[in-house]
Amino acid sequence: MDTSSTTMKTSTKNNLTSTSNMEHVAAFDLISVEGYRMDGRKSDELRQFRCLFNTMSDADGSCYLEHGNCKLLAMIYGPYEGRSNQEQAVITCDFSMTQYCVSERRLKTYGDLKSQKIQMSIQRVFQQAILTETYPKSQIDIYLKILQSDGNDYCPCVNATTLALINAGIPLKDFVCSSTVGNIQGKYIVDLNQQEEQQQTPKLTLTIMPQRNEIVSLSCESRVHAITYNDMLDSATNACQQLFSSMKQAVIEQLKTSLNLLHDN
Amino acid sequence: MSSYYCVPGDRLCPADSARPGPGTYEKQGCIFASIAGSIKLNLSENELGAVSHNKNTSNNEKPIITVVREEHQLAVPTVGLLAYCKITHVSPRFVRCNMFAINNQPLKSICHGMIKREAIDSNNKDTVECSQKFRPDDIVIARIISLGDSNSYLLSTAEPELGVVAARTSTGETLVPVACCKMRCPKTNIIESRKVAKIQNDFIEETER
Amino acid sequence: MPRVPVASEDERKFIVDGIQSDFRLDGRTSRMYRPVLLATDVVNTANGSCLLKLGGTIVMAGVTFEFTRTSQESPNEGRIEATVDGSGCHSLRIFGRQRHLFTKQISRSLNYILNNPKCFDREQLCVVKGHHCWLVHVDISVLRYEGNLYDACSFAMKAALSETKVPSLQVTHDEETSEVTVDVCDDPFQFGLLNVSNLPVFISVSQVSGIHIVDTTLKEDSVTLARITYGVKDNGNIVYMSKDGGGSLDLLNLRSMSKVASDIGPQMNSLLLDKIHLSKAKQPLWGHVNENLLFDDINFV
Repeated sequence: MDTSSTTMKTSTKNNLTSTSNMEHVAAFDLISVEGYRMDGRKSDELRQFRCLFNTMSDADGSCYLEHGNCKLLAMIYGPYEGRSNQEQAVITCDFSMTQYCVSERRLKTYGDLKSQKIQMSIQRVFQQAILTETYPKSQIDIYLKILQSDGNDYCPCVNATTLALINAGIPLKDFVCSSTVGNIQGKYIVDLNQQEEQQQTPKLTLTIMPQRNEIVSLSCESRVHAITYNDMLDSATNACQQLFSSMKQAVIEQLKTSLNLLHDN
Repeated sequence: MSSYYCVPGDRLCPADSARPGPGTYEKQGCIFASIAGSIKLNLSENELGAVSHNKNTSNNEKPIITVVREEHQLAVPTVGLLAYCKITHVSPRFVRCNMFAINNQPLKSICHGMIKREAIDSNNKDTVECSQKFRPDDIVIARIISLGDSNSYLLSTAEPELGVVAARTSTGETLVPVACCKMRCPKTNIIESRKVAKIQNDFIEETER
Repeated sequence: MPRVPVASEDERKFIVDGIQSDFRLDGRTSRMYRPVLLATDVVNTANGSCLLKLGGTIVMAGVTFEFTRTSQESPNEGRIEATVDGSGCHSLRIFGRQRHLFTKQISRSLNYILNNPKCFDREQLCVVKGHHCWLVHVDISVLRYEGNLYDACSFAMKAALSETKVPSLQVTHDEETSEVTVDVCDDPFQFGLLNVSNLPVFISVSQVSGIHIVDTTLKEDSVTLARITYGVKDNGNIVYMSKDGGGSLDLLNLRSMSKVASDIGPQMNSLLLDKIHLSKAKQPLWGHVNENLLFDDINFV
């Protein structure tokens, strides 16, 4: 890994001296004897990843993403002339969800603590990833709308925003891919769904730039043993690389169709 | 056309074999793509109006590598480019305008611009009266000379090719240019004074690029 | 109806001239709606959901059920409420702070027709008389606004409610202790459907220089003087009416606008009904993953 340019923003690493055996009991039946998870995936398999570009015609770039049961819309407005006089573009993020996106109806769709947290982290991640000095004095708005949630909302938001920014033609240093990894029954399982997310087991969220091998953000809000930590990081990186290849494929596919349409006319 | 597609973050070539153009960036001695599109190599140094004005001093022999998205290119006000604007406000010291297109690309949203009194005309700079050069609602071609302050970009019409390209009288009649500082109403033959743009053929080519 | 400064003076004149010659900006005549595209059962977490496009206006509706006790005043009726949520919608930003008032106004109108016993039978939401009932939330999220949000929301509400699967319950009444126990059925194939045949749809009729047009776009809103939103049932009866916009209307205008609404109302009702049937036929069987992506054009009817 390119250590010279590695930027670790949020890193909570808990080094424990005790073993992490007790976590195994809580999630006993999440992985079958044959090694399959509840939804039939293997431990290193991602959920189905599909996306569609140009869903909102008034946005400069937009992407509808379905990642497993998670459905969300990402829209990019800008760059347009902003209020600030900075030498680089200002990035804002607006995250909202529908009341019915989770099985228990949400009262608030906008502005609660959880969405503010996601807004902040998306803003910080893409302030680094976008070549902001290309657009001085301007502003780029990211609008995210969760239509159906499946556990972690942050990862699909990052991935959808990357795709929407590429669709808008805004220069990026690299893709930004985000994935989660958990340690259940001694196995490292990637891309947790809602059921797996709710377990009281070690979890780690990793956001990387896959082609530059840089960590953009890394967060872990549970106790992780120092030995397992490195392995978790490895499998999370693998998951992000897998995700990157499917995202790249989707982008190139879209590029080909749009260029072909252009040449046919 | 080339069928090489690239996505942001793709390494295109080492930095000593080409110069990074639009859609690319340079880091650690390599050129990377920053947008998704097809790769183009340009040998001519006259790539963009702004680039050719500032940086054709050295490494002319290197080709420029660019990544193009053919759907639409975003127009961004850059120093040196030509802007089409509509005059909104004329005061004794400056003229305010709204830019709506840059280098023949329409802007998504209008940008505010300002032409100072000194930047209106190249000759007789001290005796220029703004109200004798522009009226509100005139359509003007101007060059962006500075990104200005937080409110507006600074523009200049101090070249013979720049100035009013379309104007109307107060009654709505289209004015016809007759001299570099005069326009005539075709119905009443009243002469109104403007800073008229001298449109030349090679100039039209420059704006179309 | 918040006013938006959209078109310039010349453009406004162009729009008005177009309307006067019965040829609007997008080629419609004065009595035509923009194309309605519908996809139902789009979100698994809701009991019923739909995605509706009315031209450029895109709304998504979701119906969720909550188990509560009946109220004192109406012991044999359930409760239902609609909310319109405009958060996270960039195109509603043109209204500034007024957009919350705007969406609230629409949810008030929707609640009015939902709580009218002639339009929606709330007794079908009652589980045990005097004890338990359903509280139904109809949440409508605005994804994109391009005029005529009233009508789009009412279409989406009707489509989502008609597609809603009511969880089936087993009520056991113990005679001796007079205790009522309610169990949720595990079988996903057992569900009830709501009767929404009487539910009206909104038809907004706008007056532009003496001509009455329906389904105004954002640009046409800038020349609209007054607008009346009618709730029209499938037989053409008008059950709801509210006026907004600054202009005044005389009685003659009012009468002809009502005529327009009661003419178009049954057409739109039957169109919506057809779309709902077509969309239901298109849905995958239970347990099958939908092959098409939500916003894919193939998904809409």
